[in-house]
Amino acid sequence: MSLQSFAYFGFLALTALLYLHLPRRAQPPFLLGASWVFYAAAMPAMMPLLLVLCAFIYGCGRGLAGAHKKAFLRLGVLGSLAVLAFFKYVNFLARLLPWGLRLPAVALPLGISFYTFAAISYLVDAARGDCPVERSFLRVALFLSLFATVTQGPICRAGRLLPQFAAEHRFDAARCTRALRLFALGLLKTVAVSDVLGVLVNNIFAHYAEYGGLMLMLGAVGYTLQLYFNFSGYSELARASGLFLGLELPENFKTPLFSTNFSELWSRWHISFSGWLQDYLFTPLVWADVEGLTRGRLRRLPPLLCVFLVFFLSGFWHGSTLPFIIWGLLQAIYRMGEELLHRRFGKPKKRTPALRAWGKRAVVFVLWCIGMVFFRAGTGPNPQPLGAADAVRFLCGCVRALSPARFAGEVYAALYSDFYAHSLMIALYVLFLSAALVFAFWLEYRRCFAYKNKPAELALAAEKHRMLLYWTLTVFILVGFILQSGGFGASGFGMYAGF
Amino acid sequence: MDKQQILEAMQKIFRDNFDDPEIVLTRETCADDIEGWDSLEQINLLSACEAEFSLHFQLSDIRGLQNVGDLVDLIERMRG
Repeated sequence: MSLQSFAYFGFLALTALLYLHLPRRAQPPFLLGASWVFYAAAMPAMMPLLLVLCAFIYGCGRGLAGAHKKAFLRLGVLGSLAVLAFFKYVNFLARLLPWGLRLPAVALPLGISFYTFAAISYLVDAARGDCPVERSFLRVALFLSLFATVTQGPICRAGRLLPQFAAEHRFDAARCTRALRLFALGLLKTVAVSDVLGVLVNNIFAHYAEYGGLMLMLGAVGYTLQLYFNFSGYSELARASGLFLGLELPENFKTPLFSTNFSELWSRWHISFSGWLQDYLFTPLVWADVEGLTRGRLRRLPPLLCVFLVFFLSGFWHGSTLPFIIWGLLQAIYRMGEELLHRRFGKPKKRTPALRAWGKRAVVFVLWCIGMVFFRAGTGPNPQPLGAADAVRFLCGCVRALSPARFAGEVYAALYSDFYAHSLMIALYVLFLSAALVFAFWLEYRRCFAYKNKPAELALAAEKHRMLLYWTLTVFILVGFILQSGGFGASGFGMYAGF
Repeated sequence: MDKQQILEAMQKIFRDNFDDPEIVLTRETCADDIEGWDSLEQINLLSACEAEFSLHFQLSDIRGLQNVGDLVDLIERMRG
Protein backbone atom coordinates (compact mmCIF):
# COMPACT_ATOMS: atom_id res chain seq x y z
CA MET A 1 0.00 0.00 0.00
CA SER A 2 1.82 3.13 -1.17
CA LEU A 3 1.07 6.44 0.54
CA GLN A 4 -0.71 7.69 -2.58
CA SER A 5 -3.04 4.70 -2.99
CA PHE A 6 -6.74 4.66 -2.18
CA ALA A 7 -6.15 1.75 0.19
CA TYR A 8 -3.78 3.95 2.18
CA PHE A 9 -6.30 6.81 2.40
CA GLY A 10 -8.72 4.37 4.03
CA PHE A 11 -6.04 2.90 6.26
CA LEU A 12 -4.82 6.32 7.40
CA ALA A 13 -8.31 7.70 8.04
CA LEU A 14 -9.38 4.65 10.01
CA THR A 15 -6.14 4.50 12.00
CA ALA A 16 -6.27 8.21 12.85
CA LEU A 17 -9.95 8.05 13.78
CA LEU A 18 -9.47 5.16 16.21
CA TYR A 19 -6.11 6.40 17.49
CA LEU A 20 -7.35 9.86 18.42
CA HIS A 21 -10.25 8.40 20.43
CA LEU A 22 -8.36 5.74 22.38
CA PRO A 23 -7.36 6.22 26.01
CA ARG A 24 -3.87 7.65 26.26
CA ARG A 25 -2.24 4.43 27.45
CA ALA A 26 -3.66 2.48 24.54
CA GLN A 27 -2.43 4.90 21.87
CA PRO A 28 1.20 3.75 21.40
CA PRO A 29 0.37 0.01 21.29
CA PHE A 30 -2.44 0.67 18.82
CA LEU A 31 -0.18 2.74 16.56
CA LEU A 32 2.50 0.06 16.70
CA GLY A 33 -0.08 -2.58 15.80
CA ALA A 34 -1.27 -0.49 12.84
CA SER A 35 2.32 0.05 11.70
CA TRP A 36 3.10 -3.65 11.81
CA VAL A 37 -0.10 -4.45 9.90
CA PHE A 38 1.00 -1.88 7.31
CA TYR A 39 4.47 -3.43 6.99
CA ALA A 40 3.20 -7.01 7.02
CA ALA A 41 0.72 -6.17 4.25
CA ALA A 42 3.53 -4.72 2.14
CA MET A 43 6.23 -7.32 2.73
CA PRO A 44 5.15 -10.24 4.94
CA ALA A 45 8.38 -12.16 4.33
CA MET A 46 10.49 -9.45 5.96
CA MET A 47 8.24 -8.83 8.94
CA PRO A 48 10.36 -11.08 11.23
CA LEU A 49 13.44 -9.03 10.33
CA LEU A 50 11.75 -5.81 11.44
CA LEU A 51 10.63 -7.43 14.70
CA VAL A 52 14.08 -8.83 15.44
CA LEU A 53 15.72 -5.49 14.66
CA CYS A 54 13.30 -3.67 17.00
CA ALA A 55 14.15 -6.09 19.82
CA PHE A 56 17.87 -5.90 19.07
CA ILE A 57 17.94 -2.08 19.08
CA TYR A 58 15.82 -1.94 22.22
CA GLY A 59 18.22 -4.34 23.94
CA CYS A 60 21.32 -2.44 22.85
CA GLY A 61 19.68 0.81 23.98
CA ARG A 62 19.04 -0.59 27.44
CA GLY A 63 22.64 -1.81 27.50
CA LEU A 64 23.82 1.78 26.98
CA ALA A 65 22.53 2.67 30.43
CA GLY A 66 24.76 0.04 32.05
CA ALA A 67 28.49 -0.33 32.62
CA HIS A 68 29.38 -1.56 29.11
CA LYS A 69 28.13 1.46 27.20
CA LYS A 70 30.80 1.44 24.49
CA ALA A 71 30.40 -2.29 23.83
CA PHE A 72 26.64 -2.03 23.42
CA LEU A 73 26.96 1.02 21.16
CA ARG A 74 29.46 -0.81 18.97
CA LEU A 75 27.30 -3.95 18.92
CA GLY A 76 24.16 -2.00 17.99
CA VAL A 77 25.73 0.15 15.29
CA LEU A 78 27.81 -2.61 13.70
CA GLY A 79 24.92 -5.06 13.97
CA SER A 80 22.57 -2.63 12.17
CA LEU A 81 25.17 -1.88 9.52
CA ALA A 82 25.83 -5.59 9.02
CA VAL A 83 22.13 -6.29 8.46
CA LEU A 84 21.89 -3.38 6.02
CA ALA A 85 25.06 -4.35 4.17
CA PHE A 86 23.99 -7.98 3.93
CA PHE A 87 20.69 -7.22 2.25
CA LYS A 88 22.04 -4.43 0.06
CA TYR A 89 25.15 -6.13 -1.25
CA VAL A 90 24.57 -9.89 -1.01
CA ASN A 91 23.24 -10.12 -4.56
CA PHE A 92 26.14 -8.06 -5.85
CA LEU A 93 28.69 -10.21 -4.01
CA ALA A 94 26.96 -13.43 -5.07
CA ARG A 95 27.67 -12.52 -8.69
CA LEU A 96 31.39 -12.46 -7.93
CA LEU A 97 31.45 -16.05 -6.68
CA PRO A 98 33.96 -18.23 -8.55
CA TRP A 99 33.37 -21.53 -10.36
CA GLY A 100 29.89 -20.67 -11.51
CA LEU A 101 28.46 -20.90 -7.98
CA ARG A 102 25.04 -19.29 -7.76
CA LEU A 103 23.00 -18.21 -4.74
CA PRO A 104 19.26 -17.54 -4.82
CA ALA A 105 18.55 -13.79 -5.11
CA VAL A 106 17.69 -12.12 -1.79
CA ALA A 107 14.93 -9.51 -1.82
CA LEU A 108 15.69 -6.13 -0.27
CA PRO A 109 13.45 -5.60 2.78
CA LEU A 110 11.21 -2.59 2.22
CA GLY A 111 12.64 0.55 3.83
CA ILE A 112 15.57 -1.27 5.44
CA SER A 113 17.97 1.64 4.94
CA PHE A 114 15.57 4.04 6.59
CA TYR A 115 14.87 2.04 9.72
CA THR A 116 18.47 0.97 10.19
CA PHE A 117 19.59 4.62 9.85
CA ALA A 118 16.98 5.63 12.41
CA ALA A 119 18.20 2.82 14.68
CA ILE A 120 21.84 3.96 14.45
CA SER A 121 20.79 7.55 15.08
CA TYR A 122 18.90 6.51 18.23
CA LEU A 123 21.80 4.49 19.65
CA VAL A 124 24.44 7.15 18.93
CA ASP A 125 22.27 9.96 20.32
CA ALA A 126 21.50 7.94 23.44
CA ALA A 127 25.19 7.10 23.93
CA ARG A 128 26.18 10.76 23.45
CA GLY A 129 23.53 11.84 25.91
CA ASP A 130 21.55 13.79 23.30
CA CYS A 131 18.43 11.78 24.10
CA PRO A 132 17.53 9.55 27.04
CA VAL A 133 17.67 5.76 26.76
CA GLU A 134 14.11 4.61 26.06
CA ARG A 135 12.83 2.17 28.67
CA SER A 136 9.72 1.13 26.77
CA PHE A 137 10.10 -1.51 24.05
CA LEU A 138 6.85 -0.30 22.55
CA ARG A 139 8.15 3.19 21.92
CA VAL A 140 11.48 2.01 20.44
CA ALA A 141 9.60 -0.37 18.13
CA LEU A 142 7.19 2.40 17.16
CA PHE A 143 10.09 4.78 16.49
CA LEU A 144 11.59 2.26 14.06
CA SER A 145 8.42 0.99 12.41
CA LEU A 146 5.99 3.94 12.31
CA PHE A 147 4.02 3.34 9.09
CA ALA A 148 4.40 6.88 7.82
CA THR A 149 8.19 6.72 7.78
CA VAL A 150 9.08 3.03 7.58
CA THR A 151 9.17 2.76 3.79
CA GLN A 152 11.30 5.75 2.80
CA GLY A 153 11.76 8.14 5.67
CA PRO A 154 12.10 10.91 6.61
CA ILE A 155 14.75 9.56 8.97
CA CYS A 156 13.58 10.79 12.37
CA ARG A 157 15.62 11.67 15.45
CA ALA A 158 14.77 9.86 18.67
CA GLY A 159 15.12 13.00 20.78
CA ARG A 160 12.33 14.65 18.79
CA LEU A 161 9.97 11.74 18.17
CA LEU A 162 10.11 9.51 21.27
CA PRO A 163 8.75 12.17 23.65
CA GLN A 164 5.83 12.68 21.23
CA PHE A 165 4.88 9.01 21.58
CA ALA A 166 4.60 9.51 25.33
CA ALA A 167 2.16 12.44 24.95
CA GLU A 168 -1.59 12.21 24.57
CA HIS A 169 -3.02 12.95 21.11
CA ARG A 170 -6.55 14.17 20.50
CA PHE A 171 -8.34 15.52 17.45
CA ASP A 172 -7.40 19.11 16.70
CA ALA A 173 -9.22 20.82 13.83
CA ALA A 174 -6.42 23.29 13.03
CA ARG A 175 -3.80 20.53 12.92
CA CYS A 176 -6.09 18.37 10.81
CA THR A 177 -6.57 21.08 8.17
CA ARG A 178 -2.82 21.61 8.15
CA ALA A 179 -2.41 17.90 7.49
CA LEU A 180 -5.02 17.99 4.71
CA ARG A 181 -3.26 20.89 2.98
CA LEU A 182 0.06 19.10 3.16
CA PHE A 183 -1.47 15.84 1.98
CA ALA A 184 -2.95 17.62 -1.04
CA LEU A 185 0.43 19.17 -1.87
CA GLY A 186 2.06 15.76 -1.63
CA LEU A 187 -0.56 14.22 -3.91
CA LEU A 188 -0.15 17.00 -6.47
CA LYS A 189 3.58 16.28 -6.64
CA THR A 190 3.35 12.49 -6.79
CA VAL A 191 0.11 11.82 -8.65
CA ALA A 192 -0.34 14.82 -10.94
CA VAL A 193 3.31 15.61 -11.72
CA SER A 194 5.76 12.77 -11.06
CA ASP A 195 3.70 9.78 -12.20
CA VAL A 196 2.45 11.54 -15.31
CA LEU A 197 5.95 12.71 -16.21
CA GLY A 198 7.28 9.20 -15.62
CA VAL A 199 5.44 7.83 -18.64
CA LEU A 200 7.42 10.01 -21.02
CA VAL A 201 10.70 9.67 -19.12
CA ASN A 202 10.54 5.87 -19.05
CA ASN A 203 9.98 5.80 -22.79
CA ILE A 204 12.94 8.13 -23.44
CA PHE A 205 15.35 6.07 -21.33
CA ALA A 206 14.11 2.79 -22.83
CA HIS A 207 14.77 3.96 -26.40
CA TYR A 208 17.46 6.58 -25.78
CA ALA A 209 19.71 5.34 -28.60
CA GLU A 210 17.11 6.27 -31.21
CA TYR A 211 16.38 9.78 -30.00
CA GLY A 212 17.74 13.20 -30.97
CA GLY A 213 19.41 15.66 -28.59
CA LEU A 214 16.37 17.70 -27.55
CA MET A 215 14.46 14.54 -26.65
CA LEU A 216 17.37 13.31 -24.51
CA MET A 217 17.64 16.69 -22.78
CA LEU A 218 13.94 16.40 -22.04
CA GLY A 219 14.61 12.93 -20.63
CA ALA A 220 17.39 14.14 -18.32
CA VAL A 221 15.45 17.17 -17.07
CA GLY A 222 12.23 15.15 -16.95
CA TYR A 223 13.77 12.44 -14.79
CA THR A 224 15.29 15.01 -12.44
CA LEU A 225 11.86 16.57 -11.94
CA GLN A 226 10.13 13.18 -11.74
CA LEU A 227 12.43 12.04 -8.94
CA TYR A 228 12.27 15.34 -7.10
CA PHE A 229 8.49 15.61 -7.19
CA ASN A 230 8.06 11.94 -6.32
CA PHE A 231 10.39 11.94 -3.36
CA SER A 232 9.51 15.36 -1.98
CA GLY A 233 5.80 14.64 -2.53
CA TYR A 234 6.17 11.33 -0.74
CA SER A 235 7.94 13.03 2.15
CA GLU A 236 5.06 15.49 2.39
CA LEU A 237 2.53 12.64 2.45
CA ALA A 238 4.54 11.06 5.26
CA ARG A 239 4.69 14.29 7.23
CA ALA A 240 0.98 14.91 6.65
CA SER A 241 0.22 11.37 7.88
CA GLY A 242 2.11 12.18 11.07
CA LEU A 243 0.18 15.42 11.50
CA PHE A 244 -3.16 13.59 11.31
CA LEU A 245 -1.97 11.55 14.30
CA GLY A 246 -0.60 14.57 16.13
CA LEU A 247 3.06 13.76 15.40
CA GLU A 248 5.51 16.33 14.04
CA LEU A 249 7.89 14.62 11.60
CA PRO A 250 10.92 16.41 10.10
CA GLU A 251 10.92 18.15 6.73
CA ASN A 252 12.86 16.43 3.98
CA PHE A 253 12.96 19.07 1.22
CA LYS A 254 13.11 22.85 1.15
CA THR A 255 12.78 23.83 -2.53
CA PRO A 256 16.27 22.47 -3.37
CA LEU A 257 15.97 23.15 -7.10
CA PHE A 258 16.28 26.89 -6.37
CA SER A 259 19.73 26.44 -4.79
CA THR A 260 22.53 28.66 -6.09
CA ASN A 261 25.31 26.24 -5.12
CA PHE A 262 25.76 22.61 -4.12
CA SER A 263 26.41 23.25 -0.47
CA GLU A 264 23.00 24.88 -0.33
CA LEU A 265 21.43 22.17 -2.45
CA TRP A 266 22.56 19.44 -0.07
CA SER A 267 21.17 21.34 2.89
CA ARG A 268 17.78 21.49 1.15
CA TRP A 269 17.60 18.06 -0.59
CA HIS A 270 16.75 14.89 1.37
CA ILE A 271 17.53 16.85 4.52
CA SER A 272 16.93 14.03 6.98
CA PHE A 273 19.53 11.92 5.14
CA SER A 274 22.15 14.63 4.56
CA GLY A 275 21.73 15.67 8.21
CA TRP A 276 22.25 12.06 9.21
CA LEU A 277 25.44 11.83 7.13
CA GLN A 278 26.66 15.09 8.61
CA ASP A 279 26.06 14.14 12.25
CA TYR A 280 27.07 10.48 12.20
CA LEU A 281 29.68 10.32 9.43
CA PHE A 282 31.12 13.65 8.30
CA THR A 283 31.61 15.41 11.64
CA PRO A 284 33.12 12.36 13.44
CA LEU A 285 35.38 11.81 10.41
CA VAL A 286 36.60 15.42 10.36
CA TRP A 287 37.32 15.53 14.08
CA ALA A 288 38.80 12.05 14.33
CA ASP A 289 42.31 12.02 15.78
CA VAL A 290 44.46 10.39 13.10
CA GLU A 291 47.83 11.26 14.59
CA GLY A 292 48.51 7.63 15.48
CA LEU A 293 47.32 6.30 12.13
CA THR A 294 49.46 8.70 10.09
CA ARG A 295 52.46 8.43 12.43
CA GLY A 296 52.15 12.02 13.51
CA ARG A 297 52.11 13.50 10.00
CA LEU A 298 48.47 14.56 10.25
CA ARG A 299 46.48 15.49 13.31
CA ARG A 300 43.18 15.32 11.45
CA LEU A 301 41.99 14.32 8.01
CA PRO A 302 41.77 17.18 5.49
CA PRO A 303 38.13 18.36 5.43
CA LEU A 304 37.93 18.11 1.63
CA LEU A 305 38.96 14.46 1.82
CA CYS A 306 36.12 13.89 4.28
CA VAL A 307 33.70 15.58 1.87
CA PHE A 308 34.89 13.23 -0.82
CA LEU A 309 34.52 10.15 1.37
CA VAL A 310 31.01 11.09 2.47
CA PHE A 311 29.74 11.64 -1.06
CA PHE A 312 31.45 8.49 -2.27
CA LEU A 313 29.82 6.44 0.50
CA SER A 314 26.49 8.13 -0.18
CA GLY A 315 26.75 6.96 -3.81
CA PHE A 316 27.76 3.48 -2.72
CA TRP A 317 24.84 3.33 -0.31
CA HIS A 318 22.41 4.18 -3.13
CA GLY A 319 23.74 1.19 -5.04
CA SER A 320 26.80 -0.94 -5.59
CA THR A 321 26.74 -0.58 -9.39
CA LEU A 322 29.02 1.69 -11.41
CA PRO A 323 26.37 4.34 -12.25
CA PHE A 324 25.80 5.02 -8.54
CA ILE A 325 29.53 5.17 -7.85
CA ILE A 326 29.89 7.71 -10.66
CA TRP A 327 26.88 9.64 -9.36
CA GLY A 328 28.51 9.80 -5.91
CA LEU A 329 31.85 10.85 -7.41
CA LEU A 330 30.15 13.57 -9.46
CA GLN A 331 28.50 14.96 -6.32
CA ALA A 332 31.90 14.93 -4.60
CA ILE A 333 33.52 16.70 -7.55
CA TYR A 334 30.74 19.32 -7.69
CA ARG A 335 31.01 20.06 -3.99
CA MET A 336 34.81 20.06 -3.82
CA GLY A 337 35.14 22.00 -7.08
CA GLU A 338 32.75 24.61 -5.77
CA GLU A 339 34.79 24.91 -2.57
CA LEU A 340 37.98 25.47 -4.56
CA LEU A 341 36.24 28.06 -6.74
CA HIS A 342 35.02 29.86 -3.65
CA ARG A 343 38.54 29.93 -2.27
CA ARG A 344 39.86 31.30 -5.55
CA PHE A 345 37.13 33.81 -6.39
CA GLY A 346 35.63 34.61 -3.01
CA LYS A 347 32.62 33.37 -1.11
CA PRO A 348 29.04 33.94 -2.25
CA LYS A 349 27.45 37.08 -0.82
CA LYS A 350 23.98 37.49 0.61
CA ARG A 351 23.12 40.26 -1.83
CA THR A 352 23.83 38.59 -5.18
CA PRO A 353 22.25 40.41 -8.15
CA ALA A 354 19.11 38.56 -9.29
CA LEU A 355 20.37 37.80 -12.77
CA ARG A 356 23.58 36.33 -11.43
CA ALA A 357 21.70 34.25 -8.84
CA TRP A 358 19.42 32.80 -11.54
CA GLY A 359 22.46 32.07 -13.70
CA LYS A 360 23.99 30.11 -10.81
CA ARG A 361 20.71 28.27 -10.24
CA ALA A 362 20.68 27.26 -13.90
CA VAL A 363 24.27 25.96 -13.76
CA VAL A 364 23.59 23.99 -10.57
CA PHE A 365 20.44 22.53 -12.13
CA VAL A 366 22.19 21.44 -15.33
CA LEU A 367 25.05 19.79 -13.39
CA TRP A 368 22.51 18.11 -11.11
CA CYS A 369 20.61 16.79 -14.16
CA ILE A 370 23.85 15.34 -15.58
CA GLY A 371 24.36 13.41 -12.34
CA MET A 372 20.74 12.30 -12.44
CA VAL A 373 21.24 10.52 -15.79
CA PHE A 374 23.67 8.17 -14.01
CA PHE A 375 21.26 7.84 -11.11
CA ARG A 376 18.46 6.87 -13.50
CA ALA A 377 20.68 4.34 -15.25
CA GLY A 378 21.33 2.76 -11.86
CA THR A 379 17.77 2.69 -10.62
CA GLY A 380 15.70 1.90 -13.70
CA PRO A 381 13.07 0.70 -14.47
CA ASN A 382 14.47 -0.35 -17.85
CA PRO A 383 13.55 -3.13 -20.26
CA GLN A 384 17.29 -3.88 -20.53
CA PRO A 385 19.58 -2.89 -17.68
CA LEU A 386 21.44 0.36 -18.34
CA GLY A 387 25.04 0.82 -17.30
CA ALA A 388 27.43 3.72 -16.87
CA ALA A 389 28.35 3.50 -20.58
CA ASP A 390 24.68 4.00 -21.49
CA ALA A 391 24.53 7.09 -19.29
CA VAL A 392 27.63 8.52 -21.02
CA ARG A 393 26.16 7.77 -24.47
CA PHE A 394 22.90 9.36 -23.32
CA LEU A 395 24.71 12.54 -22.28
CA CYS A 396 26.76 12.68 -25.51
CA GLY A 397 23.53 12.25 -27.45
CA CYS A 398 22.12 15.37 -25.78
CA VAL A 399 24.24 17.66 -27.94
CA ARG A 400 23.56 15.94 -31.27
CA ALA A 401 20.64 16.19 -33.71
CA LEU A 402 19.04 19.26 -32.15
CA SER A 403 16.25 19.73 -34.67
CA PRO A 404 12.98 21.04 -33.18
CA ALA A 405 10.95 19.33 -35.91
CA ARG A 406 12.52 15.99 -35.09
CA PHE A 407 11.89 16.65 -31.40
CA ALA A 408 8.18 17.32 -31.94
CA GLY A 409 7.87 14.17 -34.03
CA GLU A 410 9.66 12.10 -31.39
CA VAL A 411 7.51 13.35 -28.53
CA TYR A 412 4.42 12.56 -30.56
CA ALA A 413 5.64 9.09 -31.49
CA ALA A 414 6.80 8.27 -27.95
CA LEU A 415 3.43 9.10 -26.46
CA TYR A 416 1.45 7.62 -29.34
CA SER A 417 3.13 4.27 -29.23
CA ASP A 418 3.09 4.02 -25.50
CA PHE A 419 -0.43 4.66 -24.41
CA TYR A 420 -2.94 7.09 -25.88
CA ALA A 421 -3.26 6.29 -29.55
CA HIS A 422 -5.07 9.48 -30.50
CA SER A 423 -3.64 12.91 -31.29
CA LEU A 424 -6.23 14.66 -29.14
CA MET A 425 -5.21 12.55 -26.12
CA ILE A 426 -1.57 13.35 -26.74
CA ALA A 427 -2.37 17.06 -26.87
CA LEU A 428 -4.32 16.74 -23.61
CA TYR A 429 -1.48 14.84 -21.96
CA VAL A 430 1.09 17.49 -22.93
CA LEU A 431 -1.27 20.26 -21.87
CA PHE A 432 -2.07 18.67 -18.50
CA LEU A 433 1.55 17.84 -17.75
CA SER A 434 2.71 21.36 -18.63
CA ALA A 435 -0.04 22.93 -16.53
CA ALA A 436 0.69 20.63 -13.56
CA LEU A 437 4.40 21.40 -13.78
CA VAL A 438 3.79 25.14 -13.96
CA PHE A 439 1.43 24.97 -10.99
CA ALA A 440 3.77 22.81 -8.91
CA PHE A 441 6.72 25.07 -9.71
CA TRP A 442 4.73 28.18 -8.94
CA LEU A 443 3.91 26.77 -5.49
CA GLU A 444 7.60 25.97 -4.97
CA TYR A 445 8.56 29.45 -6.13
CA ARG A 446 6.12 31.11 -3.72
CA ARG A 447 7.28 28.93 -0.85
CA CYS A 448 10.92 29.74 -1.51
CA PHE A 449 10.78 33.43 -2.36
CA ALA A 450 7.60 34.73 -0.71
CA TYR A 451 7.65 32.64 2.48
CA LYS A 452 11.37 32.03 3.09
CA ASN A 453 10.91 28.26 2.84
CA LYS A 454 8.58 27.92 5.75
CA PRO A 455 6.71 24.57 5.75
CA ALA A 456 4.80 24.10 2.50
CA GLU A 457 1.37 23.76 4.10
CA LEU A 458 1.82 26.99 6.06
CA ALA A 459 2.99 28.84 2.95
CA LEU A 460 -0.10 27.59 1.11
CA ALA A 461 -2.42 28.65 3.91
CA ALA A 462 -0.92 32.15 3.90
CA GLU A 463 -1.83 32.76 0.24
CA LYS A 464 -4.50 35.36 -0.33
CA HIS A 465 -6.40 33.35 -2.93
CA ARG A 466 -5.97 30.06 -1.10
CA MET A 467 -9.53 28.85 -1.79
CA LEU A 468 -8.82 29.06 -5.49
CA LEU A 469 -5.57 27.19 -4.94
CA TYR A 470 -7.32 24.42 -2.97
CA TRP A 471 -9.76 23.93 -5.84
CA THR A 472 -6.95 23.92 -8.39
CA LEU A 473 -5.08 21.35 -6.32
CA THR A 474 -8.15 19.15 -6.11
CA VAL A 475 -8.77 19.27 -9.86
CA PHE A 476 -5.15 18.45 -10.69
CA ILE A 477 -5.09 15.54 -8.26
CA LEU A 478 -8.36 14.11 -9.57
CA VAL A 479 -7.26 14.35 -13.19
CA GLY A 480 -3.92 12.83 -12.19
CA PHE A 481 -5.69 9.86 -10.62
CA ILE A 482 -7.93 9.45 -13.67
CA LEU A 483 -4.87 9.46 -15.93
CA GLN A 484 -3.29 6.74 -13.78
CA SER A 485 -6.07 4.28 -14.30
CA GLY A 486 -5.95 5.15 -17.99
CA GLY A 487 -3.07 2.72 -18.33
CA PHE A 488 -0.25 4.22 -16.29
CA GLY A 489 -0.08 1.73 -13.47
CA ALA A 490 0.72 2.85 -9.93
CA SER A 491 4.23 3.99 -9.14
CA GLY A 492 4.44 1.49 -6.28
CA PHE A 493 6.23 2.48 -3.13
CA GLY A 494 7.80 5.69 -4.27
CA MET A 495 11.11 5.96 -6.01
CA TYR A 496 13.24 5.94 -2.87
CA ALA A 497 11.72 2.87 -1.22
CA GLY A 498 14.10 0.69 -3.23
CA PHE A 499 17.16 1.92 -1.31
CA MET B 1 40.95 37.39 27.89
CA ASP B 2 37.27 38.02 28.63
CA LYS B 3 34.27 37.06 26.54
CA GLN B 4 34.12 40.42 24.80
CA GLN B 5 37.73 40.13 23.65
CA ILE B 6 37.14 36.59 22.44
CA LEU B 7 34.10 37.78 20.49
CA GLU B 8 36.13 40.57 18.89
CA ALA B 9 38.92 38.20 17.89
CA MET B 10 36.33 35.85 16.44
CA GLN B 11 34.76 38.66 14.48
CA LYS B 12 38.09 39.19 12.73
CA ILE B 13 38.30 35.46 11.97
CA PHE B 14 34.79 35.50 10.51
CA ARG B 15 35.49 38.58 8.40
CA ASP B 16 38.65 37.00 6.98
CA ASN B 17 37.00 33.64 6.40
CA PHE B 18 33.89 34.93 4.68
CA ASP B 19 35.85 37.68 2.97
CA ASP B 20 33.26 40.18 4.19
CA PRO B 21 34.42 43.18 6.30
CA GLU B 22 30.83 44.05 7.23
CA ILE B 23 30.13 40.99 9.37
CA VAL B 24 29.17 41.97 12.92
CA LEU B 25 29.07 39.09 15.37
CA THR B 26 26.82 38.91 18.39
CA ARG B 27 26.37 36.03 20.78
CA GLU B 28 23.16 35.14 18.97
CA THR B 29 24.67 34.95 15.46
CA CYS B 30 24.18 31.46 14.02
CA ALA B 31 24.71 29.60 10.76
CA ASP B 32 21.42 30.81 9.29
CA ASP B 33 22.52 34.44 9.58
CA ILE B 34 25.62 34.22 7.41
CA GLU B 35 25.50 33.15 3.78
CA GLY B 36 27.81 30.22 3.14
CA TRP B 37 28.22 29.08 6.76
CA ASP B 38 27.87 25.38 6.06
CA SER B 39 29.36 22.27 7.64
CA LEU B 40 32.64 22.67 5.77
CA GLU B 41 32.93 26.35 6.66
CA GLN B 42 32.22 25.44 10.27
CA ILE B 43 35.39 23.36 10.26
CA ASN B 44 37.44 26.16 8.71
CA LEU B 45 36.13 28.56 11.35
CA LEU B 46 36.81 26.18 14.22
CA SER B 47 40.31 25.44 12.90
CA ALA B 48 40.99 29.17 12.68
CA CYS B 49 39.77 29.55 16.28
CA GLU B 50 42.07 26.72 17.36
CA ALA B 51 45.04 28.52 15.81
CA GLU B 52 44.05 31.93 17.18
CA PHE B 53 43.47 30.79 20.76
CA SER B 54 46.00 27.90 20.80
CA LEU B 55 43.38 25.26 21.54
CA HIS B 56 42.67 21.73 20.43
CA PHE B 57 39.01 20.87 20.01
CA GLN B 58 37.61 17.38 20.25
CA LEU B 59 34.38 16.13 18.68
CA SER B 60 32.65 16.19 22.06
CA ASP B 61 33.58 19.89 22.52
CA ILE B 62 32.13 21.17 19.29
CA ARG B 63 29.01 19.04 19.11
CA GLY B 64 25.86 20.90 20.02
CA LEU B 65 27.24 24.38 19.40
CA GLN B 66 24.16 26.42 18.51
CA ASN B 67 25.52 29.92 17.99
CA VAL B 68 28.53 32.18 18.39
CA GLY B 69 27.77 32.59 22.10
CA ASP B 70 28.18 28.85 22.70
CA LEU B 71 31.52 28.95 20.92
CA VAL B 72 32.70 31.96 22.95
CA ASP B 73 31.77 30.13 26.17
CA LEU B 74 33.57 27.01 24.99
CA ILE B 75 36.75 28.94 24.16
CA GLU B 76 36.69 30.77 27.48
CA ARG B 77 36.14 27.50 29.35
CA MET B 78 39.00 25.77 27.53
CA ARG B 79 41.41 28.68 28.01
CA GLY B 80 40.47 29.05 31.63
